[in-house]
Amino acid sequence: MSRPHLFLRRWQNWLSLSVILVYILVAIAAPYLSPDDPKEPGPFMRVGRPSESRPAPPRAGSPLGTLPRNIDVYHALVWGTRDALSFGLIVTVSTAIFGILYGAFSGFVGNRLGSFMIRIADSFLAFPAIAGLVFLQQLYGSTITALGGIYVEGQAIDFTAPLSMIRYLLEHVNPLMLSLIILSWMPYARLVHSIVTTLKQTDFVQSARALGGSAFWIVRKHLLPNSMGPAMVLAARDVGGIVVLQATLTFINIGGGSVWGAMLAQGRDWILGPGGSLLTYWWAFLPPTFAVMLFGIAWNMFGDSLGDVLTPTSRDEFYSQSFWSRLGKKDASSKDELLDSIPARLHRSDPVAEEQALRSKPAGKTLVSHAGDLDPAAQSQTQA
Amino acid sequence: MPPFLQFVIRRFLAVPISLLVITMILYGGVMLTPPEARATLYLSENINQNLTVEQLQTIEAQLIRRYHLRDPYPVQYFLWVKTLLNGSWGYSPSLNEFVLPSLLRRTPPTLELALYSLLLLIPLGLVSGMMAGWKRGGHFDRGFRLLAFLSTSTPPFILAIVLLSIFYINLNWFAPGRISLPYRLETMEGSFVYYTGMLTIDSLLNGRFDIMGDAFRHLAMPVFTLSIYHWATLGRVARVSVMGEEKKEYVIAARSRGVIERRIVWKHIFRNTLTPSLTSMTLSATSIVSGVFVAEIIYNINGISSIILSALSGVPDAPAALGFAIYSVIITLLLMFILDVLQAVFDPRVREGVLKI
Repeated sequence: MSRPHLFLRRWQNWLSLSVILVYILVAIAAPYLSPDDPKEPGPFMRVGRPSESRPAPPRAGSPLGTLPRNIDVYHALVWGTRDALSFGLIVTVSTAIFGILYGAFSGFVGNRLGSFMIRIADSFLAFPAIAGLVFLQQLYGSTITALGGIYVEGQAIDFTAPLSMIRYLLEHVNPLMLSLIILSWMPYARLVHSIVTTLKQTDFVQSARALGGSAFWIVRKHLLPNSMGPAMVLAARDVGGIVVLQATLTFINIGGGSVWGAMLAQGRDWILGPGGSLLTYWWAFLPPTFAVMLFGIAWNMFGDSLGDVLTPTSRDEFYSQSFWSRLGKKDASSKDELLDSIPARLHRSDPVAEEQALRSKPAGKTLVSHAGDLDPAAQSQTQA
Repeated sequence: MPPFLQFVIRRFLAVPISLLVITMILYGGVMLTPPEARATLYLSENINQNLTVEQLQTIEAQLIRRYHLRDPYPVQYFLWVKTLLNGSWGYSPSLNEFVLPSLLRRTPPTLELALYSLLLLIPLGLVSGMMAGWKRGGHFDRGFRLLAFLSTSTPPFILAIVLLSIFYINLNWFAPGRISLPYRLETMEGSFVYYTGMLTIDSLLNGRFDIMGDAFRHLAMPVFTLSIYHWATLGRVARVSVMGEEKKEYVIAARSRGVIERRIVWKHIFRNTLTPSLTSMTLSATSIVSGVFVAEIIYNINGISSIILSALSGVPDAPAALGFAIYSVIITLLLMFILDVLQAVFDPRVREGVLKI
């Protein structure tokens, strides 16, 4: 069965993929869906007087209502999609590439250097993202902001003429993005490291080596493709998690620059405060909440579906069963299959088959039947 | 020496090594700043706000000479670690005090929150995950999977908004903060003795059950917010590993000996699922610690994370940021250490060093 076919056989798979596609379409079409205010570009567009502190319900000109200070919810929601998607994808792709290469190298080298490298990766596992963000923001403050450059080996390096690109980049890169890239590559490295370490001993890699394949060729041709599947599963799940983390940090006001998080932070006093209910000012609460949650859920489910398709073991386990068994009649059909596959005289004594057969019955009965299996006398009693 | 003690010691020795690597990287970042900025790490308390520029420069020059801030990285790093070990981690201008005492003073609220969350989520996650995995496809399993899905897909801060709206603003059962105002005044009086700094325990030791009840009333929402997500992830791992274990030979053997089901699950399989479950928690220790900080900030608990709120307030405050980073790494490492020791308590393979974690 081809991979796209495999993918589409479960409703969760295509549902998550279509939700993600909707997000991508919204992100691409943001300028058409909600054109920027030419005087004041940016995700937070004013549609009225900035002095208005009460969120206003949907009306003509702001289809999803406004936040305090007349900020349009719909506009922020649409542009927030673009922001979230690019943030999540940039962080994930860069961490995945770095982590995979790091893991592949350390796994392939294998000796003391390899284990030293993986030790360093393990040390990074103890570094919370918040701490990294706080530290990097301080570092930004006293290097890029104050110096316009960095200080290396006793002399200041200005990011002027030839290096102004770097300066521009650093000034416009979100510190949280940098902190997350630095602090979330380790899972990929560990994963790929363990896969490569295991694969190195397998026959096909040994034969590739015996054929005279260079190290680079073996890694590129044999080891990396085999670790891509699990790494992609991890990456898909990460996209959602990273965007949720970004929104969280923005909501608690320590940076991150998430539009959805900032929307909730701006509406927070009205969501929690005077209305008496979450839904009194529902347009301040529900749109960003659903946007964040659905984003997280969709990428998570997409990761799971990729796992189904890309990792051979789970595919075999899931798709080798008949169609009906997957629709919830698992126990019945696997019992029949199992009983059919073993000779009749073994039926009584095979505990696996027995257990499979008894799985659907309540626990109490299982116990009794078990006692019966062991002792012929007890068996006759139960039957009687 | 018993193998368990050997394991604990060996595992504990790994803590400073990780710490060394991380501080080296952190100081590598600090090295990107000019020596004058690095000198702020060593400023002392009695620096007067009204110094002239020349006076400040003289002090900076002195500090640069004293701590060899123009020397190569290893020298500087070594001197800095030395001051970390016996010092006060620098004077923070935004906190108006030394960083380490400030961090230590704010530790008990954080510890209290983390402790109750872990005490709640580890047993609940293991037990519910195992029950779900054992009766796969049953009612409990379906309920568990639905609940786990809901709790992993609800971001903690959104859960916090919902909880605050329902249980604080509408029902007023629970409240943010650490303690209500009247009780807070009482705890500030001399008659209330602090033993641990954790209000729930101290009020118990003081015999004040009303204060203890109030402290728990304030802890309920943050603990719930923090536990629910990690409960779900832990429970899922436990569920999957039970499903993997139930086909193993030792289970079949136990069953054929006539061991009752409950005993097979809780006596035989439990120990085997504990290791993968707790390993998954060890790997997500940073997210637990980050979660504690987030919960503290949302629920307005004056814990360690209140330092970053002031450190980010605009004033350049390298000592506070650096101190916070190192301190949270230490907390994470200790959490990982505790989880690993917990594994060793239940799993002989871990403590004998057969199974590497």
